[in-house]
Amino acid sequence: MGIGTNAAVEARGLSKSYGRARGITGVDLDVASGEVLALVGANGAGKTTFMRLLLDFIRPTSGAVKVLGFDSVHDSVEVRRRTTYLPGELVIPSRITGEEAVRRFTFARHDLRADQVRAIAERIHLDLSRRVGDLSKGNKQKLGLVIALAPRADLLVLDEPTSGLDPLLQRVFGDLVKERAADGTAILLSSHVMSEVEQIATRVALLRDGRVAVVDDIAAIRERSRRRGRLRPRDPSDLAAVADAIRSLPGVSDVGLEADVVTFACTGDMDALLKQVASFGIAAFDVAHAELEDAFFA
Amino acid sequence: MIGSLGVTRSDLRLRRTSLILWFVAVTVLVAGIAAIYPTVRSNPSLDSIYGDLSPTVQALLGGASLTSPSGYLNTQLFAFFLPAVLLVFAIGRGASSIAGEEEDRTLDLLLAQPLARGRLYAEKALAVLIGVVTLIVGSVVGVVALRQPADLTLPYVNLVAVCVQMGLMCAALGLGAQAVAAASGRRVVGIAASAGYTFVSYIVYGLSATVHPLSYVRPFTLWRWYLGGDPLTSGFGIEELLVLAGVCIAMVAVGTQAFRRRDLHA
Repeated sequence: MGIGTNAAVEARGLSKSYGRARGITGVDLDVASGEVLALVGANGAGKTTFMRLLLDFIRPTSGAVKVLGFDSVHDSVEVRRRTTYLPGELVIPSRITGEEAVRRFTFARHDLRADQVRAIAERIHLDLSRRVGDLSKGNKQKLGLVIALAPRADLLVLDEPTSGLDPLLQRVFGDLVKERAADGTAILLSSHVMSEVEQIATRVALLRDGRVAVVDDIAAIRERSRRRGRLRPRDPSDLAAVADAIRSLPGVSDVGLEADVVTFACTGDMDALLKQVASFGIAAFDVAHAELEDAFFA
Repeated sequence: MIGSLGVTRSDLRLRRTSLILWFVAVTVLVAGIAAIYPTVRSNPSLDSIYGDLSPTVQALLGGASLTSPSGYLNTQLFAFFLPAVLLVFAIGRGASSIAGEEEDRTLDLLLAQPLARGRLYAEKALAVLIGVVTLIVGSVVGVVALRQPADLTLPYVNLVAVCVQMGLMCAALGLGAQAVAAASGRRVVGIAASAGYTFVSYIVYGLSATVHPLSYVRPFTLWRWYLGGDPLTSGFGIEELLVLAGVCIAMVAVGTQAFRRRDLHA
């Protein structure tokens, strides 16, 4: 992706090996300013390793990654000055209050103002005066989000940001992330659930066994992905005819009969299919939400 | 930059309750032992019992006489008991300072900020040092407060000297624990290394008074630089202070280098 000067993250041949297993191998990946790139993959695919390399918690075995033009190893302080981070396994000392936790993990961000912290906390409904030890898992995650989202940053690195959040808060989180992206912040987040990121991300990179298997725009993936559909003719005697009518259409597959419905799978545009069945009396027609995982694993 | 010391302040704030309790405990402990001195002094038979012990055991216990002020404070407090208490604190704090946070998985979030690793390490070492200094102040307060009432006829400066040299030894061992733990990423490795050295060097130091060949390794025991010049009777030793301070600095330097080069555990 020739993003040039606009790239917030530029990884080139980035590898990290830990003895036998895990790690990443030869990762080339860019994240542009203003985009939300989701790293997707099974546990152990290398998502966290990639993120921790950006922040210089670990050093590459080979290759390099630049963050906002700064080398992750040699200019790590400059990288972290412009980057905020939410760890995947968030642990915050339990004896302190939320407010003290925010102070402990943001004191070196000198331009962070108290009202920015309050604004985010209010938006995600978090009471910062409570002791961390008394917070539920979801509320601890919110505290992590306050620490990552309150400071101004050019890159957000969020490892499994929605874990532990209820659906309502996942939506609020999505809005916050999209707002930051609209302001030009680059956002790199990880998830092992595809359906979770498709609402938020603009691009997705699938990691498999430490390598980038696919990188693509969400829209293109959605286009490619198979949706499962069902058609119920008014007249059950039309079943076989409907099935035959759609069977030969491009993009349609797995046509079958099930009691009084025709089942099928399709990708891409549905116009041809609709026109083809329009001459039959159709009692019901439904298409399931696209399973983006299928597009990757197909 | 230097003025903010955010890591140090945050660490101290996180552990202030525990530090206050340690301070009170050490002060009361020292004052309590000093307060018993008048009853020991009036009982010279203790000296004859003590005199029957072998010279090695006497050396390990800290001296010859039990009933003189310096003999009493050495044997009861400074030769073993008080440094042992302070070492529990210093080694524990040192080992958990970096490696403890790493094992508890709170280090990533701290280091996600724009802080160089060397800076983080130095500020955390300073927090350990401030903790030890607090307990030294507690020791000085305890022993100086009881000097008159308990009739411990020793110059004030000697009482301060023994506390400071003890504190420097404990600081050096605590910073050593920090260095080893930070280099390995494991708290227990730092504790084992520092406590192991402390114990072996204590035995070697005691034996070296009577076992001649051991006198050659005596300079490698920090106990020599804490107690070898007998600070309770002679006051501060310049050489002693320099060696102990030098070891403290060396431990921070070595630990910083090791910590900067390493991958942090997830």
